[in-house]
Amino acid sequence: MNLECAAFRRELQHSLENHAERSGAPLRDLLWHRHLHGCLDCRELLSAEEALEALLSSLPNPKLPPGLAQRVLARLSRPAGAQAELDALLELDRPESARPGLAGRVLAHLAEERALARRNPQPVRDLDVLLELARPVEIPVGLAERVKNRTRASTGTRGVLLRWRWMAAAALLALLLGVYAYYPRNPQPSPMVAMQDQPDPALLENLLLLEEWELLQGGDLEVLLSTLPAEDEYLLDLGAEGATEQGGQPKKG
Amino acid sequence: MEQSFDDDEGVRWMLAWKAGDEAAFDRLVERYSPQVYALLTRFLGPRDNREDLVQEVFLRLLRNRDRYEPSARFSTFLYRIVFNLAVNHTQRVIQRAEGSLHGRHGDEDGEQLAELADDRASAPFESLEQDDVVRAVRSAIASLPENQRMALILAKYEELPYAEIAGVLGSSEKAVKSLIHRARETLRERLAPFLKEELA
Repeated sequence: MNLECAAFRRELQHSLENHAERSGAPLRDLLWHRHLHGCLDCRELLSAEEALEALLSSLPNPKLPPGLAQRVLARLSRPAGAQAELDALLELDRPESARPGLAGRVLAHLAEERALARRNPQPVRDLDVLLELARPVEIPVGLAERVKNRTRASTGTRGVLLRWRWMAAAALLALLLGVYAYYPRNPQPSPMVAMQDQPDPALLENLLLLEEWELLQGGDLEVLLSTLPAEDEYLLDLGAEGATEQGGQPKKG
Repeated sequence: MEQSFDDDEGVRWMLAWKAGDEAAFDRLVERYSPQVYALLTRFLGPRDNREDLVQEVFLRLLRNRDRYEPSARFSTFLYRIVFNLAVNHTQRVIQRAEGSLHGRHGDEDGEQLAELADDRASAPFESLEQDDVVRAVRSAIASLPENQRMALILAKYEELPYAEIAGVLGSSEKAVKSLIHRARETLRERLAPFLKEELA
């Protein structure tokens, strides 16, 4: 597409936009004749637009029903006498502070209702038309946004969380308290320290067996006991028993 | 700077009516009801109840009498009412038709379905079989989205300038240009068989 094509298409667009200004002469007969002769694309485009215009123009004008305006006016009009009476009544009744145009609005409303009753005798239709005619409601500023936010909050994961937030908070608190209660405050003693606090039961059992079998006698038992921690009450008692059995007094190692 | 519409007889009559001249309303109905009827028929298709809709348009005008301020040409103001009413009517027809498809099948629903078929027919090839160019063109226009349809009708048949169409649709002139361009593209596609005949 060259510059001439672009210019031609602009001209064509302009021509389509300005029906009223069109002279009636087809575009191909104007100054673009030479360009169109040499440019197949533009020629086809012009032909397509002209064909579409012809098709659109082939639609017949809507047939106007005779006496349309008179019928519309008759339906909308009010009996002259009744209107005058109502005007007079409204005029008498109107306080000084009343908004201007009140009488006009009341009359218009009455005319609407009369027209509705005349046009729509069926109750279902009456309702539909009344709904259709319902005066516009003043919508609060930002209502749509608020409704959207609430809907989002009540339907999504966030909504579920928000709805159960107190339950979730209580459960979390209980969990934290549980963890705190069961968490060991003093560290576990190392195996070596445990050995010192309480003698190995297997070792004690062996010692008792040895004693029973009288393999350990007198000084040997004392020597063995002296190797154990002196502060161990249990072992001291054991040593005392051994010494007693042999007829001696318990000794502190 | 406030634009003046002194040369617009519709505006003059409307202001006169607002000031209490009841005869001015008669003049408005007489002058503009044929245009309203034609626009409704082109937008919604030819049906018997179009006259009711014309009356509805003027009822809305009646309701807006005291609030009227001449901020645009009268035709722009009037066509905007027509457009809103026609869109509402289409939505109502669709809702009723959908409702009747889910159970109810009264005479009125049958009429509504027929209207829906007329208004939203989107199969130009059926019309091709009937060899009815007018019907095919009507169907193709009816299948356009509402704002494209109204923009095209106002430009092509009412010969309104784009600025005024923008006022009717409540959009910009650039948007109107784009709407009409897309509408014409769609029509070229849907009416391709007829365009070939036209070109042959």
